[in-house]
Amino acid sequence: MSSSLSSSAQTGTAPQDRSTQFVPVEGGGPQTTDAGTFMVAAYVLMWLATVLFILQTWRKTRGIQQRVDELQKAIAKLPQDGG
Amino acid sequence: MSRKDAIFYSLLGAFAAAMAYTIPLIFLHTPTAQPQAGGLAQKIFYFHVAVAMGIYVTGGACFLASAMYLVRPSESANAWARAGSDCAALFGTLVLCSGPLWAKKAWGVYWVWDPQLTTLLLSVLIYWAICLLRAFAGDGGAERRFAAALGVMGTVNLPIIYFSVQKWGGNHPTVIREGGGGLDDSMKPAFRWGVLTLTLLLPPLLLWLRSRLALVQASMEHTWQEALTRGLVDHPDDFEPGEEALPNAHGVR
Repeated sequence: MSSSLSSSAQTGTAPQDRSTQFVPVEGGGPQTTDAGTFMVAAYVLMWLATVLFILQTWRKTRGIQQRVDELQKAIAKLPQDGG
Repeated sequence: MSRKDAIFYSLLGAFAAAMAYTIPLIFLHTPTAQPQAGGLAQKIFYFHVAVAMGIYVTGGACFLASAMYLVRPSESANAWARAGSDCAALFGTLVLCSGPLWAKKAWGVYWVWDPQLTTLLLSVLIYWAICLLRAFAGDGGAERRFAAALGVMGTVNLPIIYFSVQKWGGNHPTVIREGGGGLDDSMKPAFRWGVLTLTLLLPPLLLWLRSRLALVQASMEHTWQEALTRGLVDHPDDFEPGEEALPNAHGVR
């Protein structure tokens, strides 16, 4: 934590100097292509990760559940112990 | 369809609908912020903050389930603890990826060792450690207890992230917190919909999915053990929960 404190001090930004509000500007203000690129990259990353996470979890759950069902059916077909 | 499935599909539908409304709202109907705040890149804020709040939801679930497991071990508590740490790791990673993209535009650098960023990184590393532990160290009682203890510890760090801004200063904006100037009225709907979609709908959806996966994996292990005991399958040493069962002499997989 001491390193983060010293780094924060190195930036010369006091707590009261940082952004405290967001306000709209007319016409969007001067922009560079970078801002749009960063925004698109962030959104693509976000949704891609979320969708892949959901699909991977769904697929894995379904696959394992199918194998559990198959095994349980096979176990049920076995003769009962001592029977 | 069972009642649980109905809840899941309702959540999924609500999330998809909210997302379909939120995206155009952010891109088309919400004004761009001042250049000092990143200009167009400030629109990252609408999901960055919502996902960051999602860490508290998923981390909270991990904390509660882990504490429950430590007090009274159960398959269900373990599944929810595992789901909580998985989801908190995902949400934390998304925050750590999206934040720097905004920071590069607004601050000129991707990363600074700001107290809030550093404490968040610490929490995310703990959640990733839990995921790796559960993935590679086996699923025995000792490993589960250790993972649960880490889950409690990782979540105890979450309030420190929040209060680090007030206590230690730093560069991170404090727009919607105590001392912040807040959002302009024209930006509030996008933020509210972002919170609804990514803080209130997505975390329960993912937690439900991951807890179900953990329960199915546990069920697989029990079923496999029974199959081994009954001589239905071979190669016990090759089995890991979640992997495909090896066929035995009868061709049963």
